[in-house]
Order: sequence, then structure tokens, then C-alpha cells
Amino acid sequence: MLLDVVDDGTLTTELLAPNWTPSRTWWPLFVISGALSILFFVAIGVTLGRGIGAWGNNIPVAWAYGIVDFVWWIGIGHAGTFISAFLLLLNQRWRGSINRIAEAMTLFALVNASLFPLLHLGRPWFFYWLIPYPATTGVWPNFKSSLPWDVAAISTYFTVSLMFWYLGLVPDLAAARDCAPSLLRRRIYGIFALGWRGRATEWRQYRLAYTLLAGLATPLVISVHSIVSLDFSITQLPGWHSTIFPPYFVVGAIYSGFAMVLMLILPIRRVFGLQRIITKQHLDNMGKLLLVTGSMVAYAYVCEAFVAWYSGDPFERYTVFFARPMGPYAIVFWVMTVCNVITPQFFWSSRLRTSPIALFIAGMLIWAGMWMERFIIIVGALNRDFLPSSWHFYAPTWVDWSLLIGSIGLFSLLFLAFLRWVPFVPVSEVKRLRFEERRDAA
Amino acid sequence: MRTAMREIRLLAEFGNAAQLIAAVERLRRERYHDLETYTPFDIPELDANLGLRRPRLGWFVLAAGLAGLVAAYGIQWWANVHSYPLNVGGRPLHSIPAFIPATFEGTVLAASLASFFGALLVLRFPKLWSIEDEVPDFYRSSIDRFWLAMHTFASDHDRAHAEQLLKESGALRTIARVGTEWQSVGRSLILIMVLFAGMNACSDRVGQGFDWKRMRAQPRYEPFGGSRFFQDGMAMRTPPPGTIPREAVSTSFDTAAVDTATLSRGANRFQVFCAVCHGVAGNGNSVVGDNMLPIKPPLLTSAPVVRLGATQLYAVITDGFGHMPSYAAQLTPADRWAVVAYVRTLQRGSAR
Repeated sequence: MLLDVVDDGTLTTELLAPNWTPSRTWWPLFVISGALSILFFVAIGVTLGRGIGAWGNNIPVAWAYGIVDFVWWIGIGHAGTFISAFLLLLNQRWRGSINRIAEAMTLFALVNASLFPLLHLGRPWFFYWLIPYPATTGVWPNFKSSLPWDVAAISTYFTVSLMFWYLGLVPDLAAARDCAPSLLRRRIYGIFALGWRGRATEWRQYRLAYTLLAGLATPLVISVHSIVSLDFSITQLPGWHSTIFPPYFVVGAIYSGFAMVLMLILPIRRVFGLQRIITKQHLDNMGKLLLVTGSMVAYAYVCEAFVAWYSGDPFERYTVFFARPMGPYAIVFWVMTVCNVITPQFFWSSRLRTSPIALFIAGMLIWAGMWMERFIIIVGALNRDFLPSSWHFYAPTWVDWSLLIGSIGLFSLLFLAFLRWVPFVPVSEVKRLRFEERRDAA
Repeated sequence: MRTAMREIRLLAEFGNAAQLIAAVERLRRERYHDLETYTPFDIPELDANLGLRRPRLGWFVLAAGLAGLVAAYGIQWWANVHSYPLNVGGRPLHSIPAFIPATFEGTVLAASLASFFGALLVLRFPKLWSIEDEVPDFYRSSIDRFWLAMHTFASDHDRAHAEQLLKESGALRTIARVGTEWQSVGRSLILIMVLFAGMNACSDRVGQGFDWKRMRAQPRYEPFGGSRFFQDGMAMRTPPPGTIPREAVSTSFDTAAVDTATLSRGANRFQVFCAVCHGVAGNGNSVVGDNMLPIKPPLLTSAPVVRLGATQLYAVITDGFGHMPSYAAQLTPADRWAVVAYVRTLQRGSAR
């Protein structure tokens, strides 16, 4: 497909053009996401000012939207690393066109994900107590608790993702520096390009460092959602206390992230006319990945039910077979099941796999479905614990909703900024792909 | 890098990657070495013919990863076993499975930082200017042109031959010589000298060079120094009679002024602020005091504390001592004296 492009120069100019002139849809989207981000910050302000009481949480539902949103966002981030690191190690060349977008998605999802547990602390300004440092109080974090594990996992994940993303970006920033239409832009991109000149020695170090980071990010991404799942499975609560949680969470995370990647690349492909770069082949592969991860998630659901039955624990059985499908949140449970289990099964059809509309709709359904899954796991387990006398129906407040919707706004804002100022298609990798295609054709 | 400080004696521009690969291969066959290429995308096919050594970044990353592993585990051990042992439901203090998650993350974090910053270090990045930038249109090396630089030649004839080879391989153009980066160093030196000349002009004594001493030799009096200005020949003045230091406003303690109101105020303040650690009776019997490590708060009724003067007790409350922080923000000077008076009462009570 890349063979159709006249030459490397045209290819570079075309791919970098969105960085010089915004598309017509950019400003309206920017204003909308800006407004939603303001809502987000207002909700944060209310949370800080009035305390966690502004949320709907109350004992026994001590964890609700804050943790649901956290698990959901961090899970979305996982697909970005999966696409860029796993597929790089597996030599999947097609990843080249979409990996930058997926990595940016990871970063911005992590920004949101790290905000929620901080807000949930109640006194976020003391968050540094979670970091082991020699305090004058002589008090240290308790590493037998899962909270310091989360801190280690999220901060490591964010740092590694940022370095991986930035290192991959350096050659393209150099291209942007050399194509930029004004001196100021040349200077700014030049500073961020660090002085990249494309020497063979530079490429060689780059290749090694990039592969090393990919190799490190791959086990890291598995560890992060495993640690998140341990927050739940190390407790005694029925519906949480389960050994299948780490793989179940990791698969679910990657699944939700693929859904989000589709929701991002399909509009980008259309708006920027990138059909030659993000081809039908990409859509087909993404459809297959949805099918695979979706089926794995369905398998995890079945396993969870089986283990609940096999355990013989009446509380576990009650939670899985009665409280979820027939309890107060039954509607959420059934919508989730349809979204997450039924939707991907349509992609056995190759026609649907290559249809942008079908993929986009499926992406949205799964994206929302995975949020509901976290809601069912967290609130669904907490609102009916061992003692029926303490059962409590949880309902979110406007602050909860504003934090959820506002975080989507903040994500969009960051992502739009990324599309506007950062080369969002890996130009050098696409040029390499074009070179290989031409060589193979010759 | 290798080429950074070196003169480029031949530079060739190619229109596509295949020609560059072929040219490098040909030069290699003809035993030319010391080549460098500049390409818009990664061409691993070039590596063998450029004779690049295998980078050793991997070993550095391994070492950093192991260091991260040891550090992360060590911090957890130090914190939870040694420095602040906390009994959580009778679980062992040294809990290996619970230490695994943070240890793993520490390992990955250190190794990743080493890969990223190690690569930057090896490449001497950031490096915003390089000699090749002076070549017109060289910037296209990041877009659609492929450049080749050669540094050493046995003779002029040798170089002419190389140039011929490059042209035969399809080079769009060749450039004979690009200066070294030392030129830029020279330029910076000139700039720095011009700046110094400018500073020189700011001196009072134009033309006598920059007066370095002026910043050190200031016309001022040293404390306890002599003065020719004052009649007594001393630089420091005696404060007017009756002056007291600001901190000393309430360092006077009149035992006669202690009445029941003061004592009950002192008791109240003591129970709010002091008793949490020192115990309600000042005997150190408190949950916080019992668990304080490594040193427990001293018994207020013990002989060494009884021997302390009232002003010393006041100073400890004001400034803190050892693990005890300052309570100046919580207690007004009058309250502090009241607390001192109450502590004295406690001491007398326990002696009886």
C-alpha cells in the first residue's frame, strides 16, 4: 500500500502536515474536551474542599467510582504498551503505523488513572507518605499493604511508558525539526529532538535501547494490572478473593484498551486520510485481537463462575449466582455481559473486521462494557457483603459522574494536544516499511 | 560520538537507501574504513559494512536492574523489618511474598532508566549542533536523503578514488571538506571574550581591566572590629539601656505569680499536647511513648528532668529536643510557663 506514495519526502510532508495546520474538526473538539476538563477540575475541587463525602461512597461500599475509574483507565493504558512492546518483540511490522497513537493513549490514560487513587486517599496532599523516604516521624510505608504496591506499579509504569514513547519519538521529532515551517518551531522541535542526525551509530543505540525498553515494558505491563488485581484478591470479600484475578484483569485490561485504540485510530484515519498508512490489514488485525481477547475475557467470566461454584463457599456462590445476575445492579451486569461477551463474537466475519463502522461501534460497546465490568466487580461485591444487616445500595453523586466524564474530557484534551503538536504516526518506521515493501516487490 | 570531533573529508548525498547500501558495501570491499551514514530511517543492513561494534548497553542495563532489585528489596526490609517494625495481625515482619511486587517494579524501573539515559549518555545527547549542519540541505537526512561521511584517507589519490566510487554508485553530489567542530569552539571563545570586554566597560576604571577585587573588598566594619568613626574606637554599638532580645520577652518566671488558674491552664494544655507521649502523669506511660523507637520520651518525673531549670524546660517546649518537635506554634509563652509550672507540680507529686 505504501508503494503508492510517490517518495519519502512527500510521505514525510503528508504525515507531518497536521502538526503545522490543525484540521477543521480540531478546534470544536478541543473546546468540548476543554469544557469537560474544567468540569473534571471543578469536581476535583469539590472533592478536595468537601472531602470524600461528596462522593456516593459509604460503608460498606467504601470503594466505588474512584476505584472503578482507576482500574478502567489503567487497563486502557495496557493495550498501548501491548501494541508497541509485545508486537515489537514479536516482529509484527504492521504495528508501526499505530504504535505512537497507542503509546500516547497509554500515557494519557495513566495520567487519569493515577489521579483517582490520589483523590481517593481523602487527603491527597499527604500522598507522599506512600513513598518510602526517611521521614522525621520515623514512620515508613507498610509494604505488606497493596497501596504501596500500586504506587510502585503506577509510577514505574508511567515513567517507563514515557521514556519508551519519547525514545521512539526522537527520530520523528528530528524530521519535524527539519520540516518545520518557522524558525521557532524548528528550535522547539530541535530541542526535543536532542540533536538526532540519523547516524548509523545513533540508529544502532536507539534500536538496542528501544528493544530493551520493549522487553522491560512487556513483563511490566503484566505486573501492573496483576498488582491492581491484588488490591482485590488479597481481601476476604466474596467476589474478590480469587486467584484467577491477575490473568483475568490483565486480559480485560488489554481488551478494553484495544477497544479504545479502535475508537481513536478509526476517526484519525478518516479525518487525516491515513487509509494508506492505517490499512484494512490493520483493521483486520485489530478485529482479530478483539475477538481473541474478548473470548479470553468470556472464558475468565466462566472460570470465575465455576470457581465460585466449585469452592462450595455459600457467600461466594451467593455473590456470583444471585447478587450479580438478580441483585440491585442486575441491569449493569446483563448489559456488561452483552457488551463484552457477545460483541467480539461478530468478528469471526472478515467483512465486519474490515468495516470501520462495525469496529467503531464494537469499540464503544466494549469500552463502556469494561467500565461496567469493573463496577460490577467492585460495587457489586461490596454492596452485599457477609452481613445482610450492613447491605447498602450505592448510588453515585454528581461529583462521581463529573469525575468520570471529566476524566474522559481530560484524556481527549491531552490526546488532541498530542495530535496537534506531536508526529502521531511514526514517520521513520513508515518510511522503513515503504523501503521494505519496495524491496520485496522488486 | 566517534565522528563528533573529527574532520569530515568527504561527504556524499544519495537519493535512496538501496544506493547507499550498495555504496557502503563497495567502499568496504575497497578497504575504506571510518565511514558514517546519516539516514531518515533505521537501516540495520548497513551495520556489518560500517564495522560497528556491538553496543554494550545491555550489560549496563543488567547491572542497573540488579541494583534496582537490591535497592527495592533493601528499602522494604529496612522499613518494615528494621526501622519501623509493624505487627499486622501476627504476620512475619520479613514477609518475602509481600515484598515481591515492589521489588519487581524497582528492578524494571532501574533497568529502564538505565536503557534510556544510558543510550543518551553514549550518544552524548542532547547535542543540538553538529558540524554536518553547516552543509546546505543536510537537514534532508531526516526526511528523504541518505548521506555518507568519510574521515580518513591514506592520500589525496585515495580520496579522489573514493569520490569516483561514490559518483559511480549514484551519489547526487559529493562535498570535499567540512571543518571540525573546533571551529565552533573557537567561535564560542570569541563570543565569550567579547562578553568579557563588555563587562570590562562596566568598570569604574575604564581601561584598567576588570576589577575582580571589588566584589570581595567591600568597605564595611567587621563585628568586634575597630572603628575610627566612633569615639570609643569600636565598630559595634551598645544597645540603649533596657533593651532585651526579642526571644527573651517572657523568659522570666515568677514563682510567686503561679496561682490555681495558671496551674489548671497548664494541666489542660499538658493533657492536650504533652500527655500523648509523656503520659498523663508525666511518667511516660502512654501508647505512643511505649512504641516510640529507638528512644522513648524521658520520664518527666525522673531525676535528670527534675534537675532541669524552669527556663530549660521552657526552652525544650519552645524549640523541641531530640524527637520532640517545637510546640511554639501550639502554646503561647504564657501557656508554656503554665505547662512548666504544672510539670513542676507533677514532679513534686511523684517525689512525695
